[in-house]
Amino acid sequence: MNWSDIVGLGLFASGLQLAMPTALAAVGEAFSERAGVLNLGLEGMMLGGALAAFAADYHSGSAAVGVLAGVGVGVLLGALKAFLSVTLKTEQVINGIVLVIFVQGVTAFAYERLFGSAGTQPEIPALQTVRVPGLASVPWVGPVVFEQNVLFYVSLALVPAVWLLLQRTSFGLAVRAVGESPAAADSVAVRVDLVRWLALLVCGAMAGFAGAVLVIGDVTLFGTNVTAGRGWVAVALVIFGRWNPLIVFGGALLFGITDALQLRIQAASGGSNSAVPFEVFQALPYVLTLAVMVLATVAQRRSAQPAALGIPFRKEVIE
Amino acid sequence: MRRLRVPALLSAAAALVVAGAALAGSQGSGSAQAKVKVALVLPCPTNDGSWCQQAFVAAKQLQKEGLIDLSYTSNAPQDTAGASQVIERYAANGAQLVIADSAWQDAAFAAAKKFPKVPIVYAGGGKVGGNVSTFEEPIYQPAYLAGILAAGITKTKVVGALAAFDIPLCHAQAVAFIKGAQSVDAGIKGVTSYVGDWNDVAKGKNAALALASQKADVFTVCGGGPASGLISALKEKNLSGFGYVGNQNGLAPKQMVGSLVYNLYPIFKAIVQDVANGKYKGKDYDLGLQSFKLMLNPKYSVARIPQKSLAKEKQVASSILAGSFKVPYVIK
Amino acid sequence: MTAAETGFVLPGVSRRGAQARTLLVSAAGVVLAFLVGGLLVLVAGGRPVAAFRSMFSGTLGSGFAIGELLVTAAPLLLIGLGLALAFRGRVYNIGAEGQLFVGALAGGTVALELGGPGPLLIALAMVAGIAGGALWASVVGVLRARFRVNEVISSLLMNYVGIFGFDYVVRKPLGDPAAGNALASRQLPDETMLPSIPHLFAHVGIFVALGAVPVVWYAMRVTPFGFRVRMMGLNPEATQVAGVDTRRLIVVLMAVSGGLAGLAGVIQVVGVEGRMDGGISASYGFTAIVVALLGRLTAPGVLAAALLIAFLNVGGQAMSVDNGLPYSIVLAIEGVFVLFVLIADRFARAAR
Repeated sequence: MNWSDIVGLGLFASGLQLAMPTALAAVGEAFSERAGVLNLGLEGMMLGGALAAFAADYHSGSAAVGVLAGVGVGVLLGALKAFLSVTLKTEQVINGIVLVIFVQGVTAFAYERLFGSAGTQPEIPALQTVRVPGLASVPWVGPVVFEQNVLFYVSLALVPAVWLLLQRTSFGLAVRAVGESPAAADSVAVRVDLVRWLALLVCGAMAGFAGAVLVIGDVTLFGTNVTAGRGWVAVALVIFGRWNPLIVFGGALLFGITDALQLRIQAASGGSNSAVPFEVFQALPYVLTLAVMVLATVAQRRSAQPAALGIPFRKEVIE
Repeated sequence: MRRLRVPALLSAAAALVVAGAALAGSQGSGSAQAKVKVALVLPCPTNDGSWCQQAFVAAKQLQKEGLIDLSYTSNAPQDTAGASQVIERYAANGAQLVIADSAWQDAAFAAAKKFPKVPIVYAGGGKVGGNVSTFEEPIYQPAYLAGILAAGITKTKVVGALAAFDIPLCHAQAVAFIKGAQSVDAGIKGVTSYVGDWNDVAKGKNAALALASQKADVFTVCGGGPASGLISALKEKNLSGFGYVGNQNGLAPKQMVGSLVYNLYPIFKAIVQDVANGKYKGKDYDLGLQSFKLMLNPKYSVARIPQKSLAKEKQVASSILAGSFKVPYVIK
Repeated sequence: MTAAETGFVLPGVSRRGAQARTLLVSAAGVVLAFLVGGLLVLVAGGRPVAAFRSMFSGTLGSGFAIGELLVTAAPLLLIGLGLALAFRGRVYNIGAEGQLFVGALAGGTVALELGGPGPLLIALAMVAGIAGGALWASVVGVLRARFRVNEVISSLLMNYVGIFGFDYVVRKPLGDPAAGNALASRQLPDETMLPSIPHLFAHVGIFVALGAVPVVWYAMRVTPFGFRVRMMGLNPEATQVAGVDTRRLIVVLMAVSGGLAGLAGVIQVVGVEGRMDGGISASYGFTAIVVALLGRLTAPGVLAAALLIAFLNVGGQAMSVDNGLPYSIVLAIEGVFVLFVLIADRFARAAR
């Protein structure tokens, strides 16, 4: 096995590309969970955003319209989730899982209806690569990070932006307050349910955008369940990243690069007849994430979980 | 005294039963016709650009010709219990032939236990018996021909085979592709990679890039998601490859050498005629290369394919069709 | 996942008026679900009344249909019961899907590789399946009990690892070259298959699932074990102070829920599939989370929820087949139904 072929610049470019949609969704989920709402509908929001982005791009011929549509549908699904979880206060785990099932059905149905069964598969044009002048010639980092398409740069900028929104603005303070102690927040006139609604809209927008990045920025085709479980991994990564958007993003990168790495090891090791079963490589990103998680937890004693996560807020306690 | 409570759910269930009683009635029954009543069960959408689309188009053609009455379910559940329940429902509704278009061998036999008289056909080869048949998906045969062309195209002497899973179909296809290339030039190396997902386009793309990092420059692919991913990778790196099941030549006109195209029309027609003539019994429908062809892409710069390769491909194709050459079928 | 909304409602005094209101709200929820579902049927070009009629005839219309309903409900019920128990103790096991596959692998291997009389082999397979699922889940339990690793993430990630392992075994060591075009193990001998119930065409494994309901109910409500679990769910610190070994209890809860998922996996192998392959599960391990929570973490509630979900699944298939509706729209309709039941349940609770 030639390791220089495996661990080259291409590995990191590939890993970043694989990681980005998951990372965006995970950062959005971190935001919503910091507000105290567990959103297991993430996979559905990504998928809905992906189809909307694809269809809008396809029919308008504009990637910008596609991205807006993806974000729009993400926000819409965020609103549905907020209505169920915050307004109606139904059980958050169930309404999330059911939201995914619902969107999987609707997108498969809509794709079949929107694009008939005649002719070849519909596709949208790929985005141009934009070299960032100067930065692109930085050795190592340049070709990996600064020779990408515009959606990649927007994604990269969004992660610190969400972190700033959460940590450095009064809205962010309100979000963290309603996630930790809604009663205390309420006592200082923070409108708990409104803040949670807004947090879910942010989360929906991020997930919808993640879907758009996946289809417009990367694969340019749509297929049933094109998100392939990224939303679930994203939920896991939020816990991994201790609800901090920046660490969550780092976790997604770790996962994506490990995934790209295992594909390359597979390619180099002889496929289905290699001495080590390729399933071992396929399991690598999951095992490594778990191992890092265990080590990190052993190192840190304190739980970072928002205290009010998953608990609806009621002003007068009835029961 | 603690008391159990599930009133909401139980009363919801009660309401359901009441609603059911209100709705209960006889089911509509279809009128008997000379046309064969065919039910097509598809695990994917009718426009997946792949297996399901090809099957759907073939069945629609038979319907247009007035040979069959077609009903179908797309995006059907893929687990054995769910798939067999769908097959059984069609059988109970009076379907004269159920075509279960996936590797649903267990589901087909489970349904046949309850409906032994109804012809049930599943895809991909395997056990047959009673009224259960299967039809082959011999993609390995055109894959061998593609390998012959790949040998003429590759500059690096490495060809890549990418697949969702190491199922027999994909395995045989990869081996045949590599052996086809090696039949021209024994020095050619084959590399393979498995995505582990049927739908994951992005991961398929990066699996293709991983193979490219091992110098592969001509590809074959198995699985809908990976196939879409390969197209994206081919365009990004300007490499060559072969389309999968549907005609994908138009999706990357400059990079697709051709597509391995599955035509189910002759297969479905043969089965339907057997049913119509009362000659149907469980058997393995295998039309070989007649059903799975290599369809070249006229827009791919033919100059990049040496004349020698094209000639050899033609010659091997005719000996396969004549039965004088058998493409190696390796599934493990 | 500290969902406090997971049914920790202390029984209150029931009033007749509240009961009537509960019934009314539930009925309204079901009516609304039919209305919105009917709208989706219309969008897909079907006729709503005919579509819903199929749903009932396909699940309750004949012994055969009832059999299909029960066969689909069985794994959801078994896994849901285990999850309900674990969730009661606030141990959030999201790894039932992987535990199902590991259990199926352990039990299936026993049935396939050990010779012997059929009934004995089936019994051994079930024991092996329970053990396999329990061990796999215990890893998660130990990680949480010993190192405080969040069990949601560890159990979720271990799903993938377990299924990749399953894939390897059925691809290579136990793989069947004649299995057709699938990753599948060799077929089990006929005598290791569960017998079928006359008229229902359902395997007897459904009795195992149904029989687990009173057992889990008893364990949860009557035994000291159940009391400790509920106590830990309400207040883990106080439980520890009261002298309960909560670490051990966490591992036990993971093992029990994993064992039941493993048992469900074996029953799919020896009852439905006749071999080990991916067809044994329709994401039962995930759907069972909905079943457990919808059933408010009580054994009878889980039974009702499992039957409801199975009704929607099997009825949905009949709806799709009879009316030429794509199965995708049926999935969406199922989602609508569960959501309305959830909303109705929520308002019915508030009404008390």
